[in-house]
Amino acid sequence: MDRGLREYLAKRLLLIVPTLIGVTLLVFAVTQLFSPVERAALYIRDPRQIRFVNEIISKYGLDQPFYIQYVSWITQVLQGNLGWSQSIHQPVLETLLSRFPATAELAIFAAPITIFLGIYLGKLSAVKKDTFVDHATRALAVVGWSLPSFWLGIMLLAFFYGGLGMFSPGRLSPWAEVLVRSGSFKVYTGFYTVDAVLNLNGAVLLDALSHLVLPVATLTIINMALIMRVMRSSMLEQLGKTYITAARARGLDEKTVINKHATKNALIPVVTLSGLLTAGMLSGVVITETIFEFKGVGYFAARAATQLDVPAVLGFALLAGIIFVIANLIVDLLYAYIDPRIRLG
Amino acid sequence: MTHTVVNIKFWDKQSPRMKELRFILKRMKSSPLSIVGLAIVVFFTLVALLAPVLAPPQPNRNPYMIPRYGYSPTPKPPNPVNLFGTTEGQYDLYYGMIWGTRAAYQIGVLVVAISALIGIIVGGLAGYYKGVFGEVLMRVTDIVLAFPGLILAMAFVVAFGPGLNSITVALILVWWPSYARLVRGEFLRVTAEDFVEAAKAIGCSDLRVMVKHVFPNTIFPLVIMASLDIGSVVLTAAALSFLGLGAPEGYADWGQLISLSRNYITGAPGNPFAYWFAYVIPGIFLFLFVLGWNLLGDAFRDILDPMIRRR
Repeated sequence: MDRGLREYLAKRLLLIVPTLIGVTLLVFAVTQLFSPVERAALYIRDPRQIRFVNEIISKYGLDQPFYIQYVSWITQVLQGNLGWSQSIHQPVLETLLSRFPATAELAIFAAPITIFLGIYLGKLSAVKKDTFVDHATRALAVVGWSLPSFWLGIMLLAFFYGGLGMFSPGRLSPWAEVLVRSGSFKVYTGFYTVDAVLNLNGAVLLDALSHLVLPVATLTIINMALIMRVMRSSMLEQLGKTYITAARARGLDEKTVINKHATKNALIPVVTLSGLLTAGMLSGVVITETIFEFKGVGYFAARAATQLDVPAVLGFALLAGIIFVIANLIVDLLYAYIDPRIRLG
Repeated sequence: MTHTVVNIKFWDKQSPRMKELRFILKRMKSSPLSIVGLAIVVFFTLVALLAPVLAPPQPNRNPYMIPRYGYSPTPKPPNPVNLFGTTEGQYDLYYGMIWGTRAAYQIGVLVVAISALIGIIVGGLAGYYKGVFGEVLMRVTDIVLAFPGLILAMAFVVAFGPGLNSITVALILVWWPSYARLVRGEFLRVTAEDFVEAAKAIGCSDLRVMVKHVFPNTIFPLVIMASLDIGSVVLTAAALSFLGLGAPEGYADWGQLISLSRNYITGAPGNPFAYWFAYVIPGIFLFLFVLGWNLLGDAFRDILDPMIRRR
């Protein structure tokens, strides 16, 4: 690693501290809308503690000025105490952790497909500018961008599940659910597809995959649009630059010019977007998980929100904020690696 | 050097404003997608304006509450009384679509207008006076933008208590930072120009420089962003309503009407698409509304963005 990159890395890592403080401050600010008694729910680990509300208020200083409260709250958060979720009857952190594999499994399938298709179609659209292919892909992009994800999900379910009896909602069919919960199936990762492979159970693998089809399709159609748009305009910008003309003048064939020269540079802005998109999927896709009853973090958060389960929603928001801060960090580091102008400039 | 004062009226054929207008119209004509967008937006605007004529509300009743035709839960297909049929709970879908258009405009325009206003004031001051204030502002916006919008809005709505007003306030809280960033950037760019220096040199007050000289030069990016945001705001509000955090049941709200259809997507025995109207119709309205505004916003960007436009 050269010196420039190392210096940049140190600077960027330092910057994460104030951002994380800000993110936690914002979540904490929301709690200040409530009375001390309501806020006490954020510090409870067990519903039996409700009898000692006054002790909790004085212990964590819930009637004290906000900076004292913030310190005592953040201490609790750092110790992994995010409060008690009323809607799910579990500590918030435990719920988030136990539901995370479902969300991550969805993201692991949806993000690469979305990114790959978005880049491919965006590039195609730019290379074939003003042809039928370009118009068709652009129309596809604006439609995907305008489609309400919950409506698309409902339409897909109505057609495939209601009409054709395929792709039922949930993560597994009832028989597979029973099997996975029985002792004979060992849960290694919580990703049902991976676990099915490790258990050498083809039937469960197929079942898990078939339950992923519709949610992954919904996420792909909705999110691909943005990547396509950015890739197209970035590619067009690169294709208009003089180094491309120079490459063509040197007699390089068009394929090399597009793939080796233009695409590489055009990908730079797509990196940020892809990183944030993946982070968004990892932090829980509330709508998609709700429609397909895909019981991940987002499904849990939506349920908690309708039941006004404040600690659960705030815990979820905090998790999303932290995932985004980390994703931003990774994206910036990737940038510095790809684009020397950033670390040297 | 002689100096002739040319007094050009706005409506003169040679006035710069008329030239601009003609240029805009020419560009719009050459792009079929922007025509489609404009047509959709005009259609919805007319529907919103004419709502009391198209679907007259009963007197002494909140016009946004959809009338019910009975109490059976099962949706009824389109018929002469209910043009688009009824959804779960016998809410009339036609009435819901018409007044839902008004409701969508209300939340979309309100959220975008107030967010833009906050953004202009805060971002403008930060961009004009630079210094610590600008830096602090950027860090604050960084933090809000560090969250996925829907999730942060959801947290705010839960904190304020569900309802349309909560959704409006929550969306403004989530949306204003992007306007503040945009306006600050534009102010930084424009204040570096010579004509601003000149205005200051002849003794214009800071307020006058900001309002009369800098602000008019930041209008185009604002218009582009605002028109592109109306669709997104309506979409996010509908998503929150869909989750059950929005208006009370029976309010003319597309997101809620889509959510009411959820129990009927598997249809009736032997007829899987028996209740197609309950989920297709509200979805089409919401989708077309957002599509229209997105297309129009795109058209504005193609026309107004100096980086893209070519004369």
